[in-house]
Amino acid sequence: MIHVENAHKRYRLRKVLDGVSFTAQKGQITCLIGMNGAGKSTLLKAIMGLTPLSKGSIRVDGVQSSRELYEKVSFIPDHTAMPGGYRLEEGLRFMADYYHSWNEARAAELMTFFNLNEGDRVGNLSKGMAAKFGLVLGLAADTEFVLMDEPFSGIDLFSRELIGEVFSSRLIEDRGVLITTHEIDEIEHLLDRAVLLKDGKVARDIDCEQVRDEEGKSVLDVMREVYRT
Amino acid sequence: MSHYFKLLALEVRRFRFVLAGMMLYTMIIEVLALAQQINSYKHRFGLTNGVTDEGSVPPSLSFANLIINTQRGFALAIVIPMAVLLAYVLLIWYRDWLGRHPFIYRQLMVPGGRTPLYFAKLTAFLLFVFGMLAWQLLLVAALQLEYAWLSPEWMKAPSVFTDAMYASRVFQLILPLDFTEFLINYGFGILLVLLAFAGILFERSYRIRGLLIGILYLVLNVVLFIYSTHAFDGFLYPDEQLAVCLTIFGLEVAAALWISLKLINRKVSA
Repeated sequence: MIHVENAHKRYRLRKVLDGVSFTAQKGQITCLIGMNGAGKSTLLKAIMGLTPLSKGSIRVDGVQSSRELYEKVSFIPDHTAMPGGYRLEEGLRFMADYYHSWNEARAAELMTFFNLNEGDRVGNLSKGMAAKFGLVLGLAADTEFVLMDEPFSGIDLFSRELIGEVFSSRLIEDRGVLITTHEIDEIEHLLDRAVLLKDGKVARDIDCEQVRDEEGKSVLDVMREVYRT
Repeated sequence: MSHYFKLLALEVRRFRFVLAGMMLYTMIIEVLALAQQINSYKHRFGLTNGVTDEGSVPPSLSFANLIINTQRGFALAIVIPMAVLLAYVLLIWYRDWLGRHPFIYRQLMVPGGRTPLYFAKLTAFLLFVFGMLAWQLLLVAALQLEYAWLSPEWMKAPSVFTDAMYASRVFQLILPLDFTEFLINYGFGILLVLLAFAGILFERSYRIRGLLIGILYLVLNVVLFIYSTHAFDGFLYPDEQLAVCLTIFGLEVAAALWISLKLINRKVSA
């Protein structure tokens, strides 16, 4: 379980996170929702130790900042995070070189699934192709959790559908997924939990199934309630 | 440890074309400058059949003296790679934050901690510096062959390798023949690199505030070190003065390493 507790973060004078607490369970898809600048990406980066919190703590399976974190949690940022001059095969080799959890067979399977060419250079990929390659890098490792930062942002309809398929596939099964997005249409029906951020705080933390059954509302309806008031 | 070597290999691979380009540039400039100097000396006296119009043989010119006459060419060949290496102190870090696909995310997420990343960048930079130095030494040996090949017999005069190294002011700077001076120059250079790395990591951790802290930190350390080399003139024996300098040097190196490792492991932001 990923447990974020009382997370605070300031950028200069602006409070981006103001006491955010939530959990993301293994085997569930948890979505962090918020307007631009709500601190969604900052939270993911903080979980991965890519930006320090001003206050608060983050624990993964009860452990705070361990060296094994990156073997346990993979992060798919909103860019490929590989040098532009690299060929995709070099990117895959980089991952294989450093991660014990790297699964080459799965990487090959994903490359085929997304129709990516190993000889292409990262810098020449379109936004959609780069997002798919990011998913290959993040999903090919045998990690327990996957964090995804805006995987649908700026991507064409067919690529979005293809990426959406990943969420209902065995690639995600049994893992804990924490995803940030504004565009929840593609995956709304797959979400287990949604954490809605507003003004640096958690405005709502919902069990999607429960809200659907008991209140007859979709995540989008809850978003309207939170962000239109 | 294996991650350190992999990261080091990665850094070397990423700089290999620039390094090869600098080596080629240095070689071309020095070879051309020497050839031009030899040619100009050969034709200075308007020789016919190896003698001047007055029938005398012109004075010879040793390899070392030829280098003395080629100061500007050698300076041009060395100063530009030096400037590139100087810029690379910054680029070796900032390059990874730049571009459409910042690579720093991956580098900071390499399992096993970030200490190997810091030392891989540091070692790679020092390898480039000492690699260029070794290349320059090889070039001087090659230039001696060029001198022997292009110079007419009347022009040749013996000179030893060390004379050639003493002949150029730039050579004296990059490769002092006195070992103590070598240690001082390169020790101070390495200290500057460590301080610059710490300054960069301050900036990457605290951005504008960090930039000011980094600059202040760098300036204070340099001033303190330089001050320590002269502060006790007339008060301490030379050995005692050296001990003071070495202590300050050791403390500054240890502090720069400690601060840098703390920042990269705890504070730096992607």
